[in-house]
Amino acid sequence: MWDLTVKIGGEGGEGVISAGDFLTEACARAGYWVVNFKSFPAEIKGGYAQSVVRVSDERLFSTGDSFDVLCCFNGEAYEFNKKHLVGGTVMVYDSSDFEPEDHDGVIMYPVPLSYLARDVMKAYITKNVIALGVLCGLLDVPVEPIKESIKAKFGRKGSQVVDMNLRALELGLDFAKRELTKRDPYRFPPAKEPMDVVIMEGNQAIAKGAVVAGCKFYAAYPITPATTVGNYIVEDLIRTGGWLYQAEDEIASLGMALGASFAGVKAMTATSGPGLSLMTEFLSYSGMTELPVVIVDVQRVGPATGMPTKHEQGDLYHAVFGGHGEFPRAVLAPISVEDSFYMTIEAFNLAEKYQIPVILLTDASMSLRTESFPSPRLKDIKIVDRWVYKASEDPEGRFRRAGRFLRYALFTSDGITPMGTPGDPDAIHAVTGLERQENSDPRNRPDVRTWQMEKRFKKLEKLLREDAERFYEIDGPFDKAELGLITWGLTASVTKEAVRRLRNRGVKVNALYIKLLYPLRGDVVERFAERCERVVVPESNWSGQLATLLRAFSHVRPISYCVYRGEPFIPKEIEDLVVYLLENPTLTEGRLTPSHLYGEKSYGLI
Amino acid sequence: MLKPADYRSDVEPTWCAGCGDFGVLAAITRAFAELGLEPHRVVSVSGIGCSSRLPLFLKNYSIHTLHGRAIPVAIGVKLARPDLTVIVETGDGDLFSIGAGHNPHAARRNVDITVLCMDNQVYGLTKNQVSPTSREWLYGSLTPYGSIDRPLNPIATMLAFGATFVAQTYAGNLQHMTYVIKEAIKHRGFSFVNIISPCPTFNRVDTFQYYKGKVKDINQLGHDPSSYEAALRVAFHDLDHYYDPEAPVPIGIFYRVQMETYEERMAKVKARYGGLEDLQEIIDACKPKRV
Ligand SMILES: Cc1ncc(C[n+]2csc(CCOP(=O)(O)OP(=O)(O)O)c2C)c(N)n1
Ligand code: SF4
Repeated sequence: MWDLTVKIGGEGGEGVISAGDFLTEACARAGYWVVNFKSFPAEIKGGYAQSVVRVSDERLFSTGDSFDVLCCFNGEAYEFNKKHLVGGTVMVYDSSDFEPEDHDGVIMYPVPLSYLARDVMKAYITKNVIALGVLCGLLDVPVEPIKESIKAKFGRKGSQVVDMNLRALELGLDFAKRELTKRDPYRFPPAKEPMDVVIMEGNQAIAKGAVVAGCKFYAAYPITPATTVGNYIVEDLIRTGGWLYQAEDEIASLGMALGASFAGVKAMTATSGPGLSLMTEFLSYSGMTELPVVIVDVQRVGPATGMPTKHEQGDLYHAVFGGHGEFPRAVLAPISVEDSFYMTIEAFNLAEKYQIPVILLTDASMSLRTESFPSPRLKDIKIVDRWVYKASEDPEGRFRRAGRFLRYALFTSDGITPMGTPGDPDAIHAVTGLERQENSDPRNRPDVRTWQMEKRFKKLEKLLREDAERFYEIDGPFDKAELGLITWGLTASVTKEAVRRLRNRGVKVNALYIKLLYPLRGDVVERFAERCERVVVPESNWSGQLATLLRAFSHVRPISYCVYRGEPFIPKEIEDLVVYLLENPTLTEGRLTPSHLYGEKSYGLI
Repeated sequence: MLKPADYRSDVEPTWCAGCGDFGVLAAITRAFAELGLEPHRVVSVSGIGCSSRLPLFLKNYSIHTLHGRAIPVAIGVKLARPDLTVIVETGDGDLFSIGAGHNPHAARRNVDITVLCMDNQVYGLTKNQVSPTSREWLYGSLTPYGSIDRPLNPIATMLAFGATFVAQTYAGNLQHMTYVIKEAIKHRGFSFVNIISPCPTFNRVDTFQYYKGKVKDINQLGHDPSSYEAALRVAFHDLDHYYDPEAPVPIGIFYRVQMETYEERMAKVKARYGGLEDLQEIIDACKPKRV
């Protein structure tokens, strides 16, 4: 497996992110798999920004543990990263900005980036493209695809801008070839036949998935890191006849989505933790009224306003248990960008099939991650549409009694009844959050209450029976694994890479990636756990939320491993966890944190 | 020809005898009948409260939502289906207390919905608390010594938010209510009607007896609803009932202006940028770019 990670760091607004994007796109065009992770400060300009691009000739699951090549646009980026400079890594840096200290075995390439941009190109804004040229020259990155990307990106701004950037690229390339003597082993293999892939960012994949699923109404209220779902969806939505409405708050967003759903269209909203808190009353309402809706929660670090741009898997309890009273819902969590696309479609399908709210949980890191993945073929994707009442399909009038449409009829075996759409004279009805009888009349009677509760929860029983299993991805080749890893969300994709490495080292690990977190198929988890001596659940939260759900909804008693620093796991950390557990065979339950493994409170990669 | 009774569901109102909301229900069904609205093309939306039960007593599509949240839900319905008539039937607590954040935006964006506020100047369903429109020193379960709050002026408020139709009517005058509700529904754009609808159970001050003879139709007194300034003046000064208990209570159409609605603008944008047939295009746009 050929595998290279390049990290570009600099000041926000300096083109760090777009340099990473160019590289990402070029890698995909050159026929390689690529993932990219960006992070930037909350400020518009200034502050530290970085883009990590990982390329390989094999399918990638994570951005890896660290980097092979670091490109520092300024001294601040160097300060941020110097503790990760280990023997063998490469550093390309702006020698007109700073001089680094000595690092044993680190291969340094000084390049006067600022000087070249300001004095040679006479355009400081080309600094990032010059740096890109240097990287291309140094690492043999196929240049043609980069040029194509530059033309595609700047084409709209006119040929002058395109030419300037192409010259900047050449300047960087030239500099590398002429002034730098190659001393490192990193080198791109020649470009291959490009694969049929798409490149999407996490939130973009959600937006595309929603439009493909048939979403026609999106209610938005800006909140980091969910805002870009709206930014990405708005054009496609309008092009396909839908509409985005910027609401006055999250309460209104979910209310509007439910109004649109009542009126007959597929509707969604996206938010982050604080917004989900505001939506909670309407969440209960949608479960009670049986109005389908999709709510995306791009989790960020809480509580309160926490760390708005940082990663955490802290809203699982809220998604599963949040709300007053009890009502059916489903909670889905994708494990990658590709999965974000397909899980969004699944979310709509489940919402419409079962007439329930479906919460899709992603997170800040996934929202900003870019991945290449095989181009989805839309004609192979199954879309579930709403069961709309048609009098012609109900000749005996089962769903009508005494001239009233029975929106909440009790006689179906699975609790699901057709929905009436305003405008249809045969299905006039009321929807109310009050308990009611079959024809929507409010009722407080114990028997009515009991029946209607049973009706609503029958839908979840059916979901567990018919739809749940495909959301449990089992990678369990061992009949008796030394350890079983159970994870969800972004941690799952990191775990995939760790599992690959552990098996290469001869460790017998099985893994289970759970994408349907509620309702939970306890039996699937139990069957998995039976084939492992112990199970461990690594999660990015303080209390081990998935581990708690497993204890509640299955007989499995996992070890919980909790990391809550605002950054995702790295694969090495999962490997270390497994090794630690193998060395401590008596540990079978309870909660661990990095301090158990590393003897210090913080550990991370930034 | 549909009659008012054809718009009533067989659900019996749970209101107290003598509640003003009975009159409102009668006026709404009359207005529907006179306008010849098809019941299946009307969506009633409400929040929570005595008044908000009203949609359940109507035979049209209705959605009884959460306390304060009728307006956002109504907007969702309207934007999804601009061809339907969408009417919010709710209370003063709903609209001007818990849900007050929603009114300005529906009004300023001129979403074509009709909002009927049954203003009983009290919280009814929770059994006697003051509402934002209660007069000063009103007694309520949480204000045993009388309320020290100043009341909010719903008419002036909605005028300030940019509502394109603002009116007030009175549950004791079926004819006037029917007329105003009809005009409000016919109005293209956001219309707001405050309906003084006494709660004889809890509000022992603002009763039918109290209003008798006090309500005056401003249009008959010569008010011209096309003037925004005149509307504000009438709302604030000329018949300043809130601050002068002796002053007459104004009813009638305060303001009416025709402006492009939100949905009309939305339709323009959709017509201009819409029309994509093949969804595969939006996926292919994410392939690595070529020139
Ligand atoms: C979030 C929430 N808070 C409080 C309530 C309790 N509640 C129900 S009705 C109501 C007041 C209703 O007053 P108003 O809107 O004026 O209607 P009325 O009953 O007077 O017609 C309140 C506070 C609720 N249902 N939901
Ligand atoms: S409490 Fe007041 S508002 Fe409620 S039904 Fe009775 S009279 Fe009407």
